[in-house]
Amino acid sequence: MRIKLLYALRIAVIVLSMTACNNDIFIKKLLLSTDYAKLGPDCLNTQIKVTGEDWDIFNVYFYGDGESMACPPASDGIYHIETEYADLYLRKGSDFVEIELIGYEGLNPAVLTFAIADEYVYKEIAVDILPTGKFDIENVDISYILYSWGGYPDEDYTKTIITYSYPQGLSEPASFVFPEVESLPVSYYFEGFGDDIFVQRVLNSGISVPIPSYTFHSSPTHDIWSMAGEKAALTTMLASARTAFVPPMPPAVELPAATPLAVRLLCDYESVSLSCTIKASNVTTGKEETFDCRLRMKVPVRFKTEIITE
Amino acid sequence: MKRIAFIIVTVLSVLCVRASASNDSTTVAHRIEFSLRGAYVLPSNNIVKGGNSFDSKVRSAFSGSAEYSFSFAPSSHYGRYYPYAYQGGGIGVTAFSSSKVTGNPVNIYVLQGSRIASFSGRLSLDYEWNFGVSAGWKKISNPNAMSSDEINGFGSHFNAYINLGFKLNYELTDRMSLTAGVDLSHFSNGNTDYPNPGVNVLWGRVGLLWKLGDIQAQRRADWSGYAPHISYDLTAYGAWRKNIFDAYYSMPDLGEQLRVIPGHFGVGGFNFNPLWHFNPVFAAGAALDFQYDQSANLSPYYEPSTPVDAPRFYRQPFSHRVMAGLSVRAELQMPVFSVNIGIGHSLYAPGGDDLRGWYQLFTLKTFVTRNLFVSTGYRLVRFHTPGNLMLGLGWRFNAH
Repeated sequence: MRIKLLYALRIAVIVLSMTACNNDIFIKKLLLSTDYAKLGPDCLNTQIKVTGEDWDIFNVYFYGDGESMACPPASDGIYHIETEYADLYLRKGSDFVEIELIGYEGLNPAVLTFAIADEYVYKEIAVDILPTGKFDIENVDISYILYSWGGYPDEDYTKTIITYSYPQGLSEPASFVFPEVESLPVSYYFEGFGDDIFVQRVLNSGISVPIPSYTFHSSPTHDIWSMAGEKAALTTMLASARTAFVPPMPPAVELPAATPLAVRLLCDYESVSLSCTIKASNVTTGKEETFDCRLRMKVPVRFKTEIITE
Repeated sequence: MKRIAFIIVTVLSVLCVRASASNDSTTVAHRIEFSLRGAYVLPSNNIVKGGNSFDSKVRSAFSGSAEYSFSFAPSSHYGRYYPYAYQGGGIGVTAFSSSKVTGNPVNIYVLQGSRIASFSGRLSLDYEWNFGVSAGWKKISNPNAMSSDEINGFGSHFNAYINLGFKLNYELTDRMSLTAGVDLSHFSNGNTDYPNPGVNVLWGRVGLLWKLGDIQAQRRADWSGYAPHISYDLTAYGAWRKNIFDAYYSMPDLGEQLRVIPGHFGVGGFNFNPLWHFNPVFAAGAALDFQYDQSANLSPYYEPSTPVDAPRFYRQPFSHRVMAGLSVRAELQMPVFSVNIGIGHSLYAPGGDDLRGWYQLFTLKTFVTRNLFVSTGYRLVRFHTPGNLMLGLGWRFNAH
């Protein structure tokens, strides 16, 4: 009995001394499991663990593909970020923050930023959001102004198409003719004006559209440009298409005998731009829009022969 | 401090009476002493040196006291081991030279003394210690004051009173003696409030002593039945304390800005102290000490965006609040009471300077039974920094 009393007294002394009067001065440090996250097709949901007291979410801001949205404070701790192409939720729990991505039909990664703060500490969080799907563009109709075009002489260039080499020389003089070239590559890309996101999305949709052909040599009326049924994919990045409308082959050339030589077929390319108008429908939004843009091309305009003696 | 002080004095007093009644002889000698003291107040802290709102120095003091004490019967266990030991209680009033700073406290205490040497049949040199509560000190009006012009008192109305005296005892008659000597007193609240008085007083005293009842013959100590041995004291304690922090801790280029931390903090710990008992009076040994201090090493965890007079702190890791150390101990043992003094050094104190380094321990053990004792002590840090009270219980294993 006495031993039990002794233990109790000892415990009482110790416990009594531990529970001193100072609870007001201690605060809990605000700690986050991370200040960065990434959501996308492979991960639509993430949680950030929060340790602290009396904390809240502030300054919720979404930016993606030219769209931006600032969310007002949510008393229920649920932020719904909804734009034309993005749909996601930001939710506050007792000891966590959850971000759920419903969908983002974007061209480029978007970013969601917000802050978690208590009375003493302010921490910023960034969440990268990758596109979960491609937006649909339909009913693309394109028309060109064929009677007026721009030239960029500084960007013209000459390209070697084929080379025939005779390192031993010919046994006797000969008249050389290059075989017919059936088609040649054409470099191109589309350019929009301004930062309109719909324009960018259409021009990068990859949809196949008619492109003008350089028909100066083949057209009976020497129309320089004609819609001759050739097509290419909509893109703003330098791409390649093929054209059957090639310049006429050069005349035969006389090659000397007994001289090491090479014969090259060269093609002059000219850099041009043609104005165009595109009308397209956005299935996601149901909108139809018309906008002007520009097709930049480097087209073959002239063959020529070059003889190189060694 | 008030509650603790009264508990201490009441328990110790009751235990003295119980202890005296539990011995095997009823022939107890009683005595009453009246004394007057005049003192020089040592300039050991800024407040008494004039660092107060009154710009007033506390240089001197005057005190009168009345004491009752008793000695154990010669045939008793204590009477044979400690023939000249006496113990009891007293009450006294102290008047300081600048009472507007200090107030005029009343001291209530337990006491114990004994003879050091006999010069003749009538003249002897005695020592006596007092421990108790000093009530009626002037309390500061702003407990968070740090500058001297805001300090108009001390942290608490009640403080601990510790006194050690050496006096010549001249027997005028068989029953009446004249006493004269010097005392050194220390008044402190054990860091339970700020500011801690830490007032040290050097007294000169003179008194008259009356022996009541049977007069015991002079005799020598009889230690014939005593065998040196080792005992093991396990003590657990707790207390409250105040503490300060450095608001500029994270900006050392700005120097130091010390501020009082609001509130009181818990302190607790235990000691394990093997003691070799050379004789009934003296024992020595080493101790393993462990202490938890809720307020230790808080400066690095101050949230700087909060004001210094209403600071907020993040909880420091548990390891920053604890200390384990080793100390050497010496113990003066008398009837019922033992005074244990120790000097130690931390072995494990990862949190910082608050618990790291040298520490000093002063403990009064009051034995309720042969094994069980009440422990009242004080911990000093690095020989000058106030530490904390230690109030607890202990158990002596292998007590003889």
